[in-house]
Amino acid sequence: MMKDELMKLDEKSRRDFMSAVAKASLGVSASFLAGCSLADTETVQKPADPAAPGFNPVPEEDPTGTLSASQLNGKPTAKNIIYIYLAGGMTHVDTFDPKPGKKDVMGPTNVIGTNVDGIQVGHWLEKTAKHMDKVAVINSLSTTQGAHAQGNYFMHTSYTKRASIRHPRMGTWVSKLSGPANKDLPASVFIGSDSVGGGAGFLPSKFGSLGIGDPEEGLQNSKRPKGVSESEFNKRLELASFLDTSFHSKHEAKQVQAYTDMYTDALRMMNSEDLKGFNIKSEPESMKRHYGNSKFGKGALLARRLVEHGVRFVELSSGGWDMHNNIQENLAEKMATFDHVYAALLSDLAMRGMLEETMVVVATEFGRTPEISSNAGRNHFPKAFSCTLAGGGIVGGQKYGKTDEQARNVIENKVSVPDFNATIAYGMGLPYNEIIYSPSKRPFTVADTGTPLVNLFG
Amino acid sequence: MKHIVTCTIALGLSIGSLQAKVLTDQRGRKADVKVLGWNGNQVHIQNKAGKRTIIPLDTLIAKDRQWVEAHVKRDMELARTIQLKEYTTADGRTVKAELLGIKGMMVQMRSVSGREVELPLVKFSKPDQNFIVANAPHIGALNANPELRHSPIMLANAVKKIDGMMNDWYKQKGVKPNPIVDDSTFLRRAYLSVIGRVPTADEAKRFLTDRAVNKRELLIDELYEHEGYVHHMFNYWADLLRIKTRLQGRNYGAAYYAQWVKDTIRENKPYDKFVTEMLTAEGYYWDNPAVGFYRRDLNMPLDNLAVMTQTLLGSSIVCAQCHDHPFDTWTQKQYYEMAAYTYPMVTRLRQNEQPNIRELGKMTVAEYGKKEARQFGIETRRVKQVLIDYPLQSGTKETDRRLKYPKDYNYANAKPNSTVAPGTPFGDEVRIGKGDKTIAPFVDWFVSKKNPRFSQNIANRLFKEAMGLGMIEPADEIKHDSKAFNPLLMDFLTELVCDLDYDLKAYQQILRKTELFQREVYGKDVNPVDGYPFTGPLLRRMNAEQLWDSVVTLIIPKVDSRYNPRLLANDANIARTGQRTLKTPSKELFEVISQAKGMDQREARAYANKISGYGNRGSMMGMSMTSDVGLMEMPKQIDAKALSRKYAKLPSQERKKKIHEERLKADPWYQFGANFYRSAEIESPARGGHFLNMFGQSDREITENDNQEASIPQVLTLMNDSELLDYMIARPQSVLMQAVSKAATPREKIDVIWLSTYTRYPNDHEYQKLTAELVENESAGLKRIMWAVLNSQPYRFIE
Repeated sequence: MMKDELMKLDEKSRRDFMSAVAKASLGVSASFLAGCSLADTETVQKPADPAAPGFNPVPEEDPTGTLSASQLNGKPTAKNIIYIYLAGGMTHVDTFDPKPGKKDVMGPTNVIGTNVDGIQVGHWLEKTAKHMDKVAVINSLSTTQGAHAQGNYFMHTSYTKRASIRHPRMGTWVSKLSGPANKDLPASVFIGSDSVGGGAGFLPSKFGSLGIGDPEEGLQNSKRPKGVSESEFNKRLELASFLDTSFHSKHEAKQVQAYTDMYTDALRMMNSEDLKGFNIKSEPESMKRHYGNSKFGKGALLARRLVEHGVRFVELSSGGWDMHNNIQENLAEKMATFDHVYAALLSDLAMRGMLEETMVVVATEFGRTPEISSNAGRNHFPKAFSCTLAGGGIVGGQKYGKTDEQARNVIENKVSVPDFNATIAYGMGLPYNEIIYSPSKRPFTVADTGTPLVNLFG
Repeated sequence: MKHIVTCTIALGLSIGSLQAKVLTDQRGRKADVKVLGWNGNQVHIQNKAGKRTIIPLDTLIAKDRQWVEAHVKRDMELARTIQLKEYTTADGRTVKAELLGIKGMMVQMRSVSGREVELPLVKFSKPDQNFIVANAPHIGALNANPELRHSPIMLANAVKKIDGMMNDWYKQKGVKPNPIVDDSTFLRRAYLSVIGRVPTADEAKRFLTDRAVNKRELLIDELYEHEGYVHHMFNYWADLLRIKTRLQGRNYGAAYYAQWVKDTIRENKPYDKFVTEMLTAEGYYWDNPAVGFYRRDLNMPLDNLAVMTQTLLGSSIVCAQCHDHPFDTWTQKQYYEMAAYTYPMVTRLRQNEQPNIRELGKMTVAEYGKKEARQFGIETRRVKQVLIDYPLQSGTKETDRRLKYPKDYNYANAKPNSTVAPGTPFGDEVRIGKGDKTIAPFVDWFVSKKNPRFSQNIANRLFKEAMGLGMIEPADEIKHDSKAFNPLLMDFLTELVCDLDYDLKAYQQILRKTELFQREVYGKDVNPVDGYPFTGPLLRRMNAEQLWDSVVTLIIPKVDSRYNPRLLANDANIARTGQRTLKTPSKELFEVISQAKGMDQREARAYANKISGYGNRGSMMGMSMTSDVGLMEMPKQIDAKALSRKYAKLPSQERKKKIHEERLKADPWYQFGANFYRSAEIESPARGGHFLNMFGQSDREITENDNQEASIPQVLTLMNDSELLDYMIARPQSVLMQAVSKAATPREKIDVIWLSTYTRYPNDHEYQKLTAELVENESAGLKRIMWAVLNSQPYRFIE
């Protein structure tokens, strides 16, 4: 597999990779994943070369940018992550933790079987049921945060929300700790509306995710303005650089250099072949139909394309899961889309052979009450809820943890939110227990004190 | 207290036939004054205390502008002749003259021969200096704070003292400071630093051609009286105080709070008062908008205390929320002891404390019985929320709630789950008797001149705002053993803030008149080993707000006085509903609510919106819609049809011109749509994807959170999004194009662009290159040049 990967790289990246391998054999670094950031560290000094890698250059004074073998705790089975976030609190009862025969718990939902013996799901997941052999369901998640903003924040960062600091989320950690796989594109992309906010947390903003609001539109402003020819654009660039000359000779601050680097990176991205990773319009009709016409479906298709083009972490968010009222109607609408898209994504990735190295996560902030409320809905339920993992080394067709007959209390293998995130980090080979200090000198790790669920991996 | 509009001063002094009038400015602030005269854009007014002020006519609402023009003598003479007397100069000569006004350190006078002169205040004898400071019309803003008037000489001495202390420091360290910048660099830096935007070409020209020797000091004084200062300073406080217009998707009165902060800045409320009003604020937000301070941290009193300490005392205690501070002397116990003072403040009122609402509950039970009443409550929930819960919970109150140590408290110095006895961590002790209220004595301690951290924090923070780096860094983590880079100066500045009675405007003026502020920037990275040599202010990128405001200045006219009426609209609706609900007898409320019984969700929502006045200003069940909520005047809606009828007889060209003039008079921005406001007039924070957000505006989640880092989307936007550029270049009504079109030659056009962006004239090399661009094809050339300027480093950085 590694050899094939190597062939896909362009000449420059290949050289970087080879040099990384050389370093590795000298004992400086060992890991395919770490190679990227190593290369960055090597070349960060000469960013004026437009061909030089430096999308997210790791600052040289930063000792944590490069991973050494001893720091690498996880085993990197997942090269990429597609992180699906269902904002509002997905009901666990009606989806992945159904209770057959419990009418009072299940409300409007029937229980159906799947392609794995012993795994059942709510009847809304008819298409997903055919792919449960790829999925590990975690039924024993439990959180302390019962409000949306706090729960969402906790799920994304593994830390509770504080007024004094912003913690990085997983995409940012990936960007910081392992860098991009494709130097023309960012390491982390966010699709949909940002439900949690906070940019890159306390890390420099260059590690933050690049946001794509509308998957159909792709990356905004990535093309020359309308009516501006290439020669006009070059004239403009030339003039701007004329205006910068004396400024650059006077001021050498990093902040000034950072803008020069950003222009270099942005121009390279504008000219990159891989920019088409952002364009789902070039997918064949049949593939568009496969994912469906919903915004969520288009987002999933974009996520797959981005991963294909070397984006390490793609978050795809879907709102509207806060079903306090009339849950039957709400589920019918939301689940039709989710079920279709989730199944489409899993089957597409599997068909392409990408599922092996791409972990698909389905996460949410909490579950919903195991009884139907007077408003015919379900309220927030942080005590027990479910999330799923698939691909990227995860063994499919398994369940982890258990709730009681009422889907109310975790009775086996309780999983905390940090544990869940540590599992993702472990899959990616991130040093999940390495301490990184915030500018205020407070110590943090990728998933706080979470312990990865190593048994989920093969 | 009704802060939102009032600052009403009753008139005590009668000046014959002068016009008494309550004037309202465009922010809705009122002042009861005598109008002494007007001329051009100046109005001369006098308040109850006899203080006279000259204000720009166009800061008033249209109605009052017209009133002044129609009823007041177009004459400033009347006002000007009042202080005709003999003045003695410092060297003993006497001169008979009329006192016209005072502007900073300069006194404006007219000799008996009619010649108008400006003389430095220091040229006068001590008694005359005092007389002038007390009596001269102060050329400034409506309601300039009469409590804060310092001797300009004391202010000038403070500047000298700081310069002296810095020079001693350079000598002692063997450091050579950077040279003083030229006028252009100073001008751009001063505008951005004080009013938060680049000057227009006209503003730049005016300063650069001014020959006065003390024009830099005068500019600083003038800028602090500029409305732009309110915008800029609001952004500063919005970042520090994390002011969010909406919280968890809902309005909670913060637009009133934001407005109150702006008013506080505008009237230059002494800082200790400003903090006291926030920290003691109780009531509904429409009665006391300062409650927004506590309500920002709804139901999170411990976080609130941590942030309060961090922002207002410069001390980071947040670690101690969970354990003893690892790098400071803070213990968890101290944290709890301090939090115990403000813990009694609840941030959500109970609607049932209102008698009519309590009565309504009883009435419902009486009507339906207990069980049925519950069902009734569920069915009418939406209506009740809008009418009662949302507005009547929107306030704060000091209660008898007491803080307890956590159940897992881990230290031997207190029992887990026991009540915390309040205590201060430094400074004086504040004793609280059993059952006493805790907040007022705590706040007295907090803002006391004897609390060493209170003055030091603001002195250090504002020094940082001016120069780019604090004397003590990190500025929000001052510890017991923190050392200022120049400890003598830090002590002096801390004392200065006290001596000025917390007049932050005066303090900031002093800082910006120092040599340090006027030196060339330090354009290298701050080296953690050698430290920052303070040879000049730090080179900084404009923050998101400065950049946006500078760009908008190139587009819309009168940028600093365009206010966004939509900002307050939602909070005003809720306030109006709440005020009505409070006045409505329970029986009537019961009837209104009962109507929602049996409605489905959609009907209930529509009904709730209707009766609460959302979207529709109809009255509720015959109740009148009178409102105590002061709202600013919005630009008038013009009836286009009526206008064309009015000028129907004119030839088409003439008619268009007339209509345009009338529309412009009613709304100077009618051609620009509703997107271009200064950043302080846009919701806080701006939505995701907005220019402000992209360029690093704080998300208002944590304090001091704006950043000036480069990012890919910024660069892509600057290069490839043509919208802003089109507004500047492709529209003849833009401020930039108006100025460019007045310039006759390509060379003059380049001058205009350079003055409007870099605040300087081009050098020969640039003239050569740029005029060539224009000669070939002017409109393409202009576009190319502006594109290049906006994408250039010297535009986004402040040198």
